[in-house]
Amino acid sequence: MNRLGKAAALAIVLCLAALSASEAFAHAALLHASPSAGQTLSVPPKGISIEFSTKVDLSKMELHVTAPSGTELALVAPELQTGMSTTVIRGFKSALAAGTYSVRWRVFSVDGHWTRGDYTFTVEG
Amino acid sequence: MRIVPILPFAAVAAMCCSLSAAGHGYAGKRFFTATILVEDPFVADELALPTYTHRKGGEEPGVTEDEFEFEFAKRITPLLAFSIEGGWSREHGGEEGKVEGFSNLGVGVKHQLVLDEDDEFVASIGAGVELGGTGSEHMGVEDFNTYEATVYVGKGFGSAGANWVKPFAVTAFAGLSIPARGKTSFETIDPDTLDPVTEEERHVTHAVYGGTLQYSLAYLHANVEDTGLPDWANQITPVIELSLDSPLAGDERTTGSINPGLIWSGQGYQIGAEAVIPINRDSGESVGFAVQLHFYLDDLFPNSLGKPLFE
Repeated sequence: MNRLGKAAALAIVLCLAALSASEAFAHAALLHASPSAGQTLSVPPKGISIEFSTKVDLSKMELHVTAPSGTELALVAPELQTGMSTTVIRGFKSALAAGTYSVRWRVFSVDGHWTRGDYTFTVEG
Repeated sequence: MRIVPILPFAAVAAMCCSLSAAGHGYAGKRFFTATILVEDPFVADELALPTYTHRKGGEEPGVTEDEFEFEFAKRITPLLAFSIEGGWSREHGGEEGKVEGFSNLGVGVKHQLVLDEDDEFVASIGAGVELGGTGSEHMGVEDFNTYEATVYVGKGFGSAGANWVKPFAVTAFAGLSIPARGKTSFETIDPDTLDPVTEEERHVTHAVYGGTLQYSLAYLHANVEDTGLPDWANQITPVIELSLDSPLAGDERTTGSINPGLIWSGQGYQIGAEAVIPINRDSGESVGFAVQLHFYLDDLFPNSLGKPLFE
């Protein structure tokens, strides 16, 4: 690597180091979910949790789970699920029957931007 | 040098469609990564610094070029952004030995016309000008302005029936690059007669066009199927970029490159690395490479530099 290349590499490293303090600001991307996208479960889940890459405002968050019949499931929020959090957790009010369920979410992150997504998971009979 | 969109679009601004505060590169669930070669189809507060490109024979046979470029874009309103770009390069291996200097500055504006979140579609128009004479004269930069008008589109395939198609997205652009001067006359010496002669160099309008094909592992992970990859791998977008430049008159050939590579999107920044494959001999003599560090200013400075000047 010539001198120019070394200078470029050094500049990139310094910039990334300076950025490490800014990790708190970012759009909320889905990091992990349970059940996850495309997952097939032999045991029906009792609830759903989605972890995001940054804190989201739980009061503005939208989470919808739709049953195979097309009806939307009633969700229960645990007591500690208030304010800002990186993880959204909701319980199902009733046991899930076999079939494919649709999950749709929309969250407002600390940087003031909305992000959204949707996916499906399947409960085996 | 790619010219950035410029010139005011006040009349077109009235045509603006709805835009929620989704931030850089989002159309619904889709995140369009900022690509290295091809201008993005959305407006954003962003800084590409540096973009380093190494190639051989692109400007002149036998000449190796190392170029550092920057591009800074700032939203004036949520749908209208101003941008400025420039670069510095070093060339060696030619008749003149090692030469280095600045390229012309480019300035522009881009207006986002359409954002359809459900269809993962975005479209923008832009205008720009390469400011003649702002670079280093000995680098052979033009001393006249070159104007460009361009249309940009982006489309994600999240609504496709087959799951394997859903992580794919494409972007495309097409425009005209119009020199402000039709020809340049210069004096030279006829090598046979040693008499002074006047020669002319024609400057013709070029069509500029191309696009990208992107495969978002983040989209696959979040919206289609969790494949169990580690988090860092889910932030990678394999991409193929294509950028072409065709003169609309004269006998010059179309030039351009195909750039396959990977872009890793972090929180507030992204890093990209691509091979630069010339499409023909006029575009380069061997495969080069490009790397870029790109900052999402709306993530890093959401309450200052990263928000529109006028909401």
